Amino acid sequence: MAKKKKGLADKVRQSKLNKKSSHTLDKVRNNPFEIKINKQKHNIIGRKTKHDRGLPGVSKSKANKKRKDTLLKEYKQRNKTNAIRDERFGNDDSQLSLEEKMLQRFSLERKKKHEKMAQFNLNEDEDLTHLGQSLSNIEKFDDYEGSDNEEESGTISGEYVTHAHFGGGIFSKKEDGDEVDQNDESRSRKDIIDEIIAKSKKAKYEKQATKEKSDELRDKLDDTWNDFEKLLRPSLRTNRDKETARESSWPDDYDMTVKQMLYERKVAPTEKVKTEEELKLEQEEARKAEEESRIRRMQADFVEGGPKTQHQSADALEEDYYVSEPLGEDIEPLSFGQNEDEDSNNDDENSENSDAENDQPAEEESELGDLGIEEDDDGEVSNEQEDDSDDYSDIDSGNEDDADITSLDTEEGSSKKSISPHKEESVNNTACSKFPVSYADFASRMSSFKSDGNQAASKFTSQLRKQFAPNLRKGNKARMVELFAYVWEHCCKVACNSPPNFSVISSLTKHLYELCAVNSEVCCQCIVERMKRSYQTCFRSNKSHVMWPSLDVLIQFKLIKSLFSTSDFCHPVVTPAFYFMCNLLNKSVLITFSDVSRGLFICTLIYEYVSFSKRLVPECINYLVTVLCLALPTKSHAGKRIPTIASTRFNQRNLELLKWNKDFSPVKNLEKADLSLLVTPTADSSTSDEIRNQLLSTALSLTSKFLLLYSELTSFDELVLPVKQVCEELIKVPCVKAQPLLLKSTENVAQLIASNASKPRKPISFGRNKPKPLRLIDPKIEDTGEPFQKRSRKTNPSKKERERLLHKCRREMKGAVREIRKDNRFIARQKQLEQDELDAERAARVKRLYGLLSNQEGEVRNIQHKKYKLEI
Amino acid sequence: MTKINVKQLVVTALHSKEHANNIVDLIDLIATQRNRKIVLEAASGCLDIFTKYLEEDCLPSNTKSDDTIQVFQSWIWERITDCFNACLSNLKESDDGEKMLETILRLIQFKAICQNKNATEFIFPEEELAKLMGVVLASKNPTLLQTFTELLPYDDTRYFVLKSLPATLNKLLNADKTIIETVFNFLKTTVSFMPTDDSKLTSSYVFGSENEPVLAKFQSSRPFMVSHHRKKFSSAWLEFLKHPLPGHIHKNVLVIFHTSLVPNFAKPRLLADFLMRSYAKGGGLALLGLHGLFVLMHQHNLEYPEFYKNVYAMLHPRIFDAKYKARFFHLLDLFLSSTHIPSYLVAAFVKKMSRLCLIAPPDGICIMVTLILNLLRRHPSIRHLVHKDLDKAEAIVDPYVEGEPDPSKCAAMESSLWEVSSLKSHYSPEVVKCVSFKSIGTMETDVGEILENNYDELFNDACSKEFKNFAMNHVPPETLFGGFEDTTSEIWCVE
Repeated sequence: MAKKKKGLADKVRQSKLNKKSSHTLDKVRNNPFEIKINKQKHNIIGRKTKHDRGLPGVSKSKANKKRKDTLLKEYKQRNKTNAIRDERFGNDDSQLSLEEKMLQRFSLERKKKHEKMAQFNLNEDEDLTHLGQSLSNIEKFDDYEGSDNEEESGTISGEYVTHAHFGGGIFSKKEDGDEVDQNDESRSRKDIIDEIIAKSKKAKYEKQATKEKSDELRDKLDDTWNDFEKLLRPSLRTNRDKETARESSWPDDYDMTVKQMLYERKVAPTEKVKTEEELKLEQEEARKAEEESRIRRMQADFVEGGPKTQHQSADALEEDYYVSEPLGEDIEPLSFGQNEDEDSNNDDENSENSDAENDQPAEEESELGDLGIEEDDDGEVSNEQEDDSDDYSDIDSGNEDDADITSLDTEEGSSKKSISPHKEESVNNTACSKFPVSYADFASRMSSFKSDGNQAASKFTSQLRKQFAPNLRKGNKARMVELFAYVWEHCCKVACNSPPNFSVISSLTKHLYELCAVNSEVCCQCIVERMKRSYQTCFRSNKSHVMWPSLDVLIQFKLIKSLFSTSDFCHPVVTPAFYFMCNLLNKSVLITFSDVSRGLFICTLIYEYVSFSKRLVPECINYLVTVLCLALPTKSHAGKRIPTIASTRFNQRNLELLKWNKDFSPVKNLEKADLSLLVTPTADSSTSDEIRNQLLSTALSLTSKFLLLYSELTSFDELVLPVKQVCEELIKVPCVKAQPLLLKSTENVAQLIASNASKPRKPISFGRNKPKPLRLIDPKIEDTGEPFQKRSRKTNPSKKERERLLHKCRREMKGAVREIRKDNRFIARQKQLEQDELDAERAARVKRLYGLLSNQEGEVRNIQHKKYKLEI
Repeated sequence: MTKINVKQLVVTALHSKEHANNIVDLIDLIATQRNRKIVLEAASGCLDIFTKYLEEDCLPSNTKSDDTIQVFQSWIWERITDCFNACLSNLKESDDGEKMLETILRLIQFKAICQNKNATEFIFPEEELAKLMGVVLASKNPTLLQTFTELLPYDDTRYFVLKSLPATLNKLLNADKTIIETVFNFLKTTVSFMPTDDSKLTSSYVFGSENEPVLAKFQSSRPFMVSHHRKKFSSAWLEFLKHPLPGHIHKNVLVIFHTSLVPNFAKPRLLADFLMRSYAKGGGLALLGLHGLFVLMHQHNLEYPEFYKNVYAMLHPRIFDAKYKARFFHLLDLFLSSTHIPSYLVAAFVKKMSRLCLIAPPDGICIMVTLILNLLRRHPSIRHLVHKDLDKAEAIVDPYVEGEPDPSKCAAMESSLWEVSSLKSHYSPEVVKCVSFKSIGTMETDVGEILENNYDELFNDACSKEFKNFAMNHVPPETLFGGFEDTTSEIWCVE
């Protein structure tokens, strides 16, 4: 206790001292007499000076202290030459190896120890006991009950201690009161002791009782422990436990309401209702942005992909995010045999379906028939049809299995049985109730769809789109792509009909656009795949001339124009379409009117494609020139003066195609060529002149359109040279002369050429030459480090370096010498101190001796004096 | 007359010279007999007899002492000729004269051996060989030809075959035009046996390959010298090429021209006439002819100032349709690969090609633009065609005359390549990539990769290209016709 106190006091003193010392240091620092200020010669702003003020006293004492710690110690040790001598066993014996030495030393040590300890060891085998039990048993601490008692039995209660030990024990006088004292007086000592014994016994008994009680409780806990443990460790819980727990912990109504309110959508601030002007402005801006991006895409240096799409995390995917994996199980499987089931169910339906079924093959047959006539005797056509009529297995996602189809169908059938005034509607709804699995399915359902004429396909599609809108269900987006493929296929089928019903396609165009917008990438792939197939059928034979493909291919090109931005520099669909069309223009035969008109139609499409971007398509010009050439008398182009690539395309079969009959009658009013010309196989001689006129005027108007488009080109002259020549010839043809309208359009073209021709042009150039920049020379910069340091005149860097090092060396040397001097002074001081101490000691001793001697002398003198006195 | 009789005749004649008149009978048999076996027997019998007699008689003939022997010898010689003629006429008549041909060949060989026994110069029965060749070629019989070509590996026979070819060909082709294919095939086979080195000329049909001492004697004679072989070879081919050739043979000749004809010709320059005729034919033949001319000019110092003019004339829109498009541009690149061609010429080519770009399909444009760029790199003197200093440049009307056949007069040097710059707005992205160069640079681009391109490649490439941008039309269409940017309804009657 006392020691502790002392430690505490020490601490306090120490901290005080520290405080004091820090305090003193502050004092010192603030003491103007301690500070030495180093005066600066040049004051530099912004530079932090380290040594502007110093504390010489402090630094001196510091240095002194340091010396005391190091130098002084060394000094004091200077004459001490202690050394450790190794006297262990075998140290001198060089023959023993290190290991052996160690072994022997160890054994020696053990022996020594053993001998020392063993003299007190009486019997080693004896088992030590405590309370009659072996200690080794006790050490296992099995059910050792003493641990609880020990504290209490070891320490006696404080009250007892004060009374029994310090208060005088039984002999103590009670200070509490006189009455007690008086009562106690009557009791004898024995009584008192008995009482004490009883008391302690009672206390003991009570203690025993409480202990037993707690033991009991503990045992109880042990018994029920298994049940508790489950609560503590979840891994032990069984399912049943969990269930019961869940039941019990199911949130009540209140909790639910709270949770609901917590997660309820907060009302977002609504946007301001825009005025009409604002809306207009917004639309205008959107349109502008569209136009700008269109122009940007048109540029050749447009980087594909444009501005990078922002990264979307997987969590950000919306429900209508398209996943290209097969549709999940949530789609009810359908089969191709559906119609048959329906047939058996309903008579009314039967007739319709059979119609539908009949329709389909009949359609195809008629197509084949048409094409057969139209394209002479080309066997490829049927092949193409076969190709086309494959059931889009690449787009179907393999939900072919039809396990529960019959039950579903019967349901459908029964719903149809009820013939009601709303029959049409209900039929329409059922037709759209499920998504068609293949194009054949789509077509048959569409034919069962009741609507007026041309709008059937459109309405059916819109119904399907409503039913399976992408935001309604997962996977509907993929369905929309499928639907796009079906509609596309349907358009092609319709285009193949004779005569083609363009209004059906027209009504579907909008749907195609919107469907394609849902997932343009996959739709593009779909179109490209189809285009590839038609390309291969078209150019399968590697001949220089090929037959024109059926009309659906041409209509596809028109649809592509409607759907996509054709002005792009590079586009996944448009670019291949360009190549396809140009190859057709370049290689296709020109034998019948429909051949010529198809070519002209493609020229029209190409014009549409490039009307904005003004791209150069030489193939079109070539084709138009070829067509115009066909109208010239045979002699004039037999000489092949027209420098066109197509000059090889004239042959015996087409030489007379566009030449008027001998007894032609001039037509006053020229009508536009009809699109049905594309499929009309032949024309009798009565109408052929009319058709010729129409085709020629179409070609001429296309030519003038293209010329206008290209009038900005630098090499316009060269480009239109063949056109110019043909027109000059054409004007001379008597049949053209006789028809003012035709003549006028021809002259129109010629004039167009003349108005744009022969402008002087500047030669092309890569741009102005840039002036050559002067050669730059790095300025010579000397790296001297300190700007105000004395600069040496030596330019040689190695010499300069040497000088710098020498300077440094000299400075270090100076510093070292000063230190050594200080050390010497310190040691001298120390020696002086020691000498002084010795001197002082000696002086003290001498003084004492003197004293002793003087005492002695005094005594001698005294004795002598006494002796003298005695003698006297 | 039977086979046994024939044998008897032969045996008696072999036995003694007194029955030498049997030979006359045998020759008669060959000439008159229809039975093939007998004829063959008789012919081989004759050969045996001749061999025996000459072995006995010819050796002492050197002495020239005995007149009777000489008379007999000359009589035998005449009979040999008779026999040969009889056999030949037999061969002419029979359909399957393989055995007969072999006999005739043996006869010729035999005759040659006799003649060369004491000769210092190599002698060969050329007349007979020529006659035989005429018959064989005229027969058009492939087996006969096959047997006959077995003469060609031997140096001496080859030499004499080649030597007698011109006359034979002249005769044959004047008589019958249809034979020309057979002749061509035969000539083509001769090519493969043509020697390259004097030291390798050691094989002889007459003496056999192993008879070296005899051969050594004739080593310096004509049949064993490459230069003479070549001379005869050239004259044979030139004779052949003089005649009008049908298209496919003409083409084949031009195809084997570089590999077979030129190296084996004594003076390859003599072929120039033929090549010019090929050029005049136009089309692919003209191209091959030009290639041949180029080889002659390049390697054999042929002077042909019209060459580049002819090549220039070949630059016509037709080439883009032609099958030989790739070959043409490959050769054009080759023809213009020299850096020593005058600038005006290169400028003319460049300008002409850039004009063609305006009507060519995209694949052709890519090739031509690459070629143009390569030429500009090779010839810095014509760089002003694509780059003129803006300060000095004045606006001009293009002085280039496209119709001018002479490249030196077409004034291409004063022109500029506006056509190439206007191709920057071509519809094909590939073309635009080709023409949008910022400077000429110095590294030439290899044309070989794009030579074979056509629409199919471009289409497939465009289809398989990966895109990120699937731009839709920014104006949603309402109907098929008459919508945004629609011209169809303007030009056509769509209802």
